[in-house]
Amino acid sequence: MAQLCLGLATSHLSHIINARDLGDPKQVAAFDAGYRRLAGALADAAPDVSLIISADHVNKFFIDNMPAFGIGMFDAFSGPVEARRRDVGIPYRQVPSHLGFARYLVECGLDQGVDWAVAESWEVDHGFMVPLSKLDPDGHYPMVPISINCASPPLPSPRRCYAVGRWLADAIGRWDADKRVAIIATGGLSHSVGTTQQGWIDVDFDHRFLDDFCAGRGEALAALSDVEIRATGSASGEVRSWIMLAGAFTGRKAERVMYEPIRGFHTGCGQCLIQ
Amino acid sequence: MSSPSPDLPPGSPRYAINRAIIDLTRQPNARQLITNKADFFAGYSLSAEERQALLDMDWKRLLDLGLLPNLVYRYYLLHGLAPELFPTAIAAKG
Repeated sequence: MAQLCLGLATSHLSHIINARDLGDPKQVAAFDAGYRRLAGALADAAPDVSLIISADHVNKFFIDNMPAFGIGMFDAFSGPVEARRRDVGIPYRQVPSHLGFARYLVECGLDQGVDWAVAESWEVDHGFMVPLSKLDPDGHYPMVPISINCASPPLPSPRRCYAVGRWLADAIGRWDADKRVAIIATGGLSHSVGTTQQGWIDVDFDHRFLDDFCAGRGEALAALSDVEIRATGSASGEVRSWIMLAGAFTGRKAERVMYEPIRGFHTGCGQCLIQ
Repeated sequence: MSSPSPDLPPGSPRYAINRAIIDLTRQPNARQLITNKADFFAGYSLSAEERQALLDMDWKRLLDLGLLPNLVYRYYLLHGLAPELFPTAIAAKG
């Protein structure tokens, strides 16, 4: 049977690639060092396949069809889609995926109450590709992308994200394959995009969130309300990916690799590791 | 992505303005199209208030009218404005 071998969580903003000068150099260096640490953990774990969970920033999905949860079912995907329009500092490229694993998750989910929206082609955005450019720039590890609607309210509740994470762990544990699976959650922490709050970081919320995440108190994260999260920033809802990861590793403690509220990046930047 | 259409099917109150911006930002020549915004947005069934906010680049008003925050910001960036100056820009229009 397959087994979960590693959990990673990281903020995914593009500034670390293409607007580095806006951040305090010491904080940016800490973010870089964190990425190196996570990349090393991924290389050490050498998973056969990984799930990468992110928000889609109204690129793949729009409000004429906005799924709560989406999954890519194919042998490869590509991105970042933003690089089609402008230089974003990382190349547009293909990433290997794992059709069989994705199909297994889709089939199990449809039978067990997780009704994925299925994408059989996907140009993913920076939420996936910025972390991958740091964690696996050469595409060694097959990645199955999962999106959570964090952009167009109403959003899936934190409790639902946590439950889907728990279901993922259960489904992976029942996958009749001798495979090691990692899960990478990207996004957050507190920040706003496109609103009057942009530039403000709720440092207190970020620390509380990380404390609960690292202590394995996933139920506390699942109990957060959408209102509580939204109060910390219009884009803070991306912490749903972390909550899904917490569900997959229920009760497991995590290591806080770094946290820096990088004012010039307008984002509370955090990274954690579950080994 | 389809070209701008005056015949969008009915949608939610926020649909048309979001559709107008997603269509615009997906055009390969979007930067050129915004040099004549009125022409581009003429193809959409927008309220007078929505149309004016789009033409005025009134970021706060666009947000209040239901344009998704990600699309407010994408519309802002399309104008070649500095990302780090968005907080000042939206406050100035507030």
